Amino acid sequence: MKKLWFVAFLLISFFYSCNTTEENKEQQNNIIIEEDETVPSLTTIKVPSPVELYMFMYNAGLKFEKTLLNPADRSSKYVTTYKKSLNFGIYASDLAYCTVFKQNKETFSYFSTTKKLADDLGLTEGFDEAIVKRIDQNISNSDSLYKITNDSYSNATSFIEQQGQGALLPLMLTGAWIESVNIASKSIKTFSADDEIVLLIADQQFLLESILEMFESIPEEDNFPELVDKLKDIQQSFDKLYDNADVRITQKQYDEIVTKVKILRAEIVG
Amino acid sequence: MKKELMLITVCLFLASCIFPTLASAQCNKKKYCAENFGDYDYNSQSSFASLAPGDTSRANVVLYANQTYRIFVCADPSLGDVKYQVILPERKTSRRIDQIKKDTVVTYKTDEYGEYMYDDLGNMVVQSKTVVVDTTWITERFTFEKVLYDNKNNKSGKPYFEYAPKKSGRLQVKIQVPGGDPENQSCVNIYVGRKVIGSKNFQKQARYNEN
Repeated sequence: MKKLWFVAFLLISFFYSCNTTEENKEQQNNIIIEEDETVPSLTTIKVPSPVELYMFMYNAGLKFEKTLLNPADRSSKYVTTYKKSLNFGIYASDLAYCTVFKQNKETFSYFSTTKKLADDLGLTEGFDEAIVKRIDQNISNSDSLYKITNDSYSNATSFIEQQGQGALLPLMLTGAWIESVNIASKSIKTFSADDEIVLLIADQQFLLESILEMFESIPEEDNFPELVDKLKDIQQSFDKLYDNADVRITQKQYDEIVTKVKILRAEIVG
Repeated sequence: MKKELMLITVCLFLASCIFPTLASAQCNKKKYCAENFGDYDYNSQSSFASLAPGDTSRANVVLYANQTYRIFVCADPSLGDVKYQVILPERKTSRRIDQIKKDTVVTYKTDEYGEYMYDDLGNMVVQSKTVVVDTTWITERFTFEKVLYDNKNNKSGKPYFEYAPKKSGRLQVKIQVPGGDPENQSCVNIYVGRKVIGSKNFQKQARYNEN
């Protein structure tokens, strides 16, 4: 048996040394890249969690509207990884909305739905059994639910980021973004260029720019050109805001953006 | 015996292959510079990576107006003194004239029946000549990088950058790990904490060091 372990040790030493040699080559490349400051070894793109937008809405005194959510029982309709990834983002955003607005019953329901999609996508961090237990134990405590779901979203996105799972992260963030903008826009009853939430919708252009950069960074064969084209079309509408002198956003520009978001959202959840 | 050997070899090989990914995944579990955290929520846009000496890295984040942010970079001490800058990419537009086209528009006299009138030489009789100027404009967009914070040239005396943006926008954190043994790969964490200005709700906001 001792001999057996010795052979195993030799083999692993061999495999590990091969692995290390490869890493060294990569690191040598990094040193060369370092001389050119415009090409960093690693570029990370982050976007704020939907929680932040909903916190602004909650603090502005807006009311929770259940009808704005994607019904939880629709989750079984999503069969492909593409649809599951996008709708995982949609439900993660819905979950954040319920949590921030202290809708504890809905929080539990949307956590279960989001977890089901997370399991299907192989996301073991953020939506595991331990979290389900914590949610169950804190079902009447809004502050704890807020912290737990906030942690879950953050852990899930960090996990996907570190696993480097191609298009999963930008797809998920697209779903979360489109749902947040849709909920925020439908919560506004009348347009006013000074309205805090209208301005926040205008600010969503920065999140969209980051999401599109993420899509650009993934290999062409893993990309989704139809979806990216639709997002670029929304970005074109946002780009018009850069030309405004007196106001951040006009009603015409606002209507154009929210209409495009509404159409894309309908395609994603449908 | 042979089967056992094969099984052990395969398991160890797989473990060695996934080791680098696991090492990177562990960085978010490590809390460097905990004394800098303060009363901020670091959940949304902090990032964690395993870098080697000599590596450079960039993180793009989006900051909302009406929130205060605390940004800092902390790395495993074995990597040495990591340099970082917080940069504001400013987007400016400028309009300039592309071209000015001048066209002369000529109108001709017509008679009471709407027919053109001709002079003795058979040319149409000119009623008026107007010069029309058509100016076309080009809008050019430029992005400038403005350094808001440099940890190697920091006059604030604080080991972090605090910022309350008046307008929402994107920021970039640029990192440079000093040179050294390329095998000494370790964690470099970018902490982006936020706090809503003047919010009385959610007083017990998530804090990074709470469980």
